Amino acid sequence: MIDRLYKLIWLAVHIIVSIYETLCFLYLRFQALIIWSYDFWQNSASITRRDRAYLLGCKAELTKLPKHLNLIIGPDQLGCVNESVVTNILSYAQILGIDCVSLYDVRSEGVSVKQIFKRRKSYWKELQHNQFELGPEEYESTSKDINKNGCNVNGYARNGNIVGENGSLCNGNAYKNISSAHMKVYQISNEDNRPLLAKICRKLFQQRDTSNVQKLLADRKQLEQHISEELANHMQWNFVDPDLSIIFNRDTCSFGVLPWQTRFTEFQTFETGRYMNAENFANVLYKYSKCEQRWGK
Amino acid sequence: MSWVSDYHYKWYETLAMNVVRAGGYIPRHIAFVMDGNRRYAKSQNLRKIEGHSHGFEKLANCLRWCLDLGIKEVTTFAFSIENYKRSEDEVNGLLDLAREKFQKILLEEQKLNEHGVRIRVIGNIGLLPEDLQALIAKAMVITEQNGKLFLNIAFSYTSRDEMTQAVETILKLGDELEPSDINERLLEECLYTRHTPPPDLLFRTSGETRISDFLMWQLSSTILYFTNILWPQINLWNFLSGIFAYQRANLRLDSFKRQKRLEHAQLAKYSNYYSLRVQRFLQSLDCYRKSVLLSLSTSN
Repeated sequence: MIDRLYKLIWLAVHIIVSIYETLCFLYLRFQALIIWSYDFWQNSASITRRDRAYLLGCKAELTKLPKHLNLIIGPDQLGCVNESVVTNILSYAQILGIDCVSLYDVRSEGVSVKQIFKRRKSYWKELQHNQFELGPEEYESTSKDINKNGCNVNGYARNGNIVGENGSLCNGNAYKNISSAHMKVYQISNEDNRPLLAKICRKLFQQRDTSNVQKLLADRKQLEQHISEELANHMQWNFVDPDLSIIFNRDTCSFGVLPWQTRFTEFQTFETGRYMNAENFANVLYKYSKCEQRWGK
Repeated sequence: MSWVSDYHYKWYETLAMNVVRAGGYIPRHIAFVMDGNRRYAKSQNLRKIEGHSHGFEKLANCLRWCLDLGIKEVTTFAFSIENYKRSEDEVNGLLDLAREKFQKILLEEQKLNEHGVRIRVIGNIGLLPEDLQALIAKAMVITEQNGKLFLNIAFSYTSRDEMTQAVETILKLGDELEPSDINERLLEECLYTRHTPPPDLLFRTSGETRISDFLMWQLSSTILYFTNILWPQINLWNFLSGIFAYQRANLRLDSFKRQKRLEHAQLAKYSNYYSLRVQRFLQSLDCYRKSVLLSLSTSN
C-alpha cells in the first residue's frame, strides 16, 4: 500500500516536470515561429548578409573557436533536425572559419550530407566515401548592408558591442568573401566508431610477427600513438579530434560517437524545440568559449 | 572515514529515497567523475589534499545512497594517468591518500563483507608505486567473493590506455585466435571492465561538460548528467536529481537502448564470439589477470 503511495508521488512529480518541459517546448516553438516568420519576409541574400555580419562580430568576441565541430543527432522524434538545420550550421561554421564539421546521425533515415551539397550552388567535392570538401558560398555585398557603423546586424540582439564600434571589423573581413578556405565535412557512420578500432586491431594482429608491431608491443605509449595515426589515416586528411559536440536530443548521450577521439570534447545539448539560427548557434559557441581545458593538470 | 558511510537520513530524505526507488528504472550501474575537489579547497582556503579528503567523504556518502537505492555497480574516476602531470607534491599527496584508503579497506574487511561490497581497481596499476600496487591487489582479493555492490575505482586510468591495453592483450595473448575472430565484441571483453555492464548513468560534477577520457568505449548509450555543484558539496538532493533525470530519460531512450542491446547480442551470435577458440582465449585472459593479481597481493 505504502509503495503505491510512493509510486503515486513519483508519478505526480514526473507529470509536473513533464508539463513544465512541454510548456518550455511550446514556448521555444512559438519563438521559432516568430523568427521563422520574420525571416520568411526577407530574401535569402539579406538573411545571409545579416548572419554573416552577426557571426563575424561574435567571432571577434569569442576567445576560442572549435577547429572541429561535431554534430550528434539523437533518436528524439521531437528534435525535428532536418537538412535545413544542418545546412544552416554548415553555413555558420563556414562563415566563422571552422576547419571541419562532422555529423553523426543515429536515426535510420538521417540527414545525408551528400544530399545537402547536391542542392547547394557553391563548390563541393567528395574526397572519398562520406568525406566532402565545401567551397565558399557565392556572396556579394551591397550598399544596403552597411549601416552607419559599417555593419548591419538587424534582427539580432548582440551579446557584445565590438562589431560596428569602429567599423574596423565590418569594413574589413565581413564585406569581403573571407571564408575562402575550404571546409571539410565528414559524415560519420557507426563503422567509424568502435568497429574501426576493431579493424585496426585486426590489421595489427595480422602483422604481429613483424618487427614493427613487436616494437609497438614493447611500449604501450607507442602503440597508442600508432592507433591514433591509423585512425587519422582512415580519415585521410588532417582530422583533429572534435573540440565541441552539439547534441540534438532531449537527453545528453554521446551515442558512442568516435570513442577514441572525443575524450576531451565538450558536449553541449541543444535544447529541443529551439530554432537554429545564427544567434542560437553563436550562443553555443559563447558557452564553449568559456570552457577551460585543464588536460589533467 | 569509512568507505561506506553511516549516513543518517532525516525523515524527508527517507521519503524522497522511497519515492525515487518506487519510480523504477533505477540505474544498475552508475559512474561518477568526482570533479571540483581542488576548486572546493580553494574556495574554503584549504590545502588541495584536504579538498580531495573531503571528496572521499562524499564518495562514502554516495556509496551509502547507492546501496540503499539498490544500485548494483558504481565506477568512480579517482586518478587519471593525465593527473601525473600535476605538481609532485599533489601527486604524492594523492598517492598517500590512496594508500591510507586502501589500508582502510584491509582493516574494514568485515564491514565491507557485511555490506557485500566488492572492490575492483581498473587502470594501468603498473604505473603506481609497488607498495600501492600490492595494497590494491590485496583489497581486490579480499573482497572478491562479495556481490551486493561492485565498486570499480578507476585509478591510474584513461580510456585510451584501456583501449590500447585491450589491443595489446589480443596481440600478446591471442596466439590461437584467427583474424576473423577480432571484432568490437572481443575487444570489449579485453577491456578492464570485462564482467561489468556499461554504465547507465554518468554523473559529473563541477559544471564541466566533457568526459575526460573516462569509459569512452562503454558510454555509447549512457545518459550523461552534468551538474554545476563541486564534488565535495554534493548532497542527497543532487544525487537524487541525477537519478530522477535518468529515470525520465530512460523512458525516452528505452527503445534505442533495446535496439543497441539486440545489435550487441547479434554481433556476438554472428561473429565467432561463442567459438571454442575465442572462449578459450577469454578464459586464459581471466586466468592471466587473476595470477597477476595474486602475485601482486602476496608481494611485500
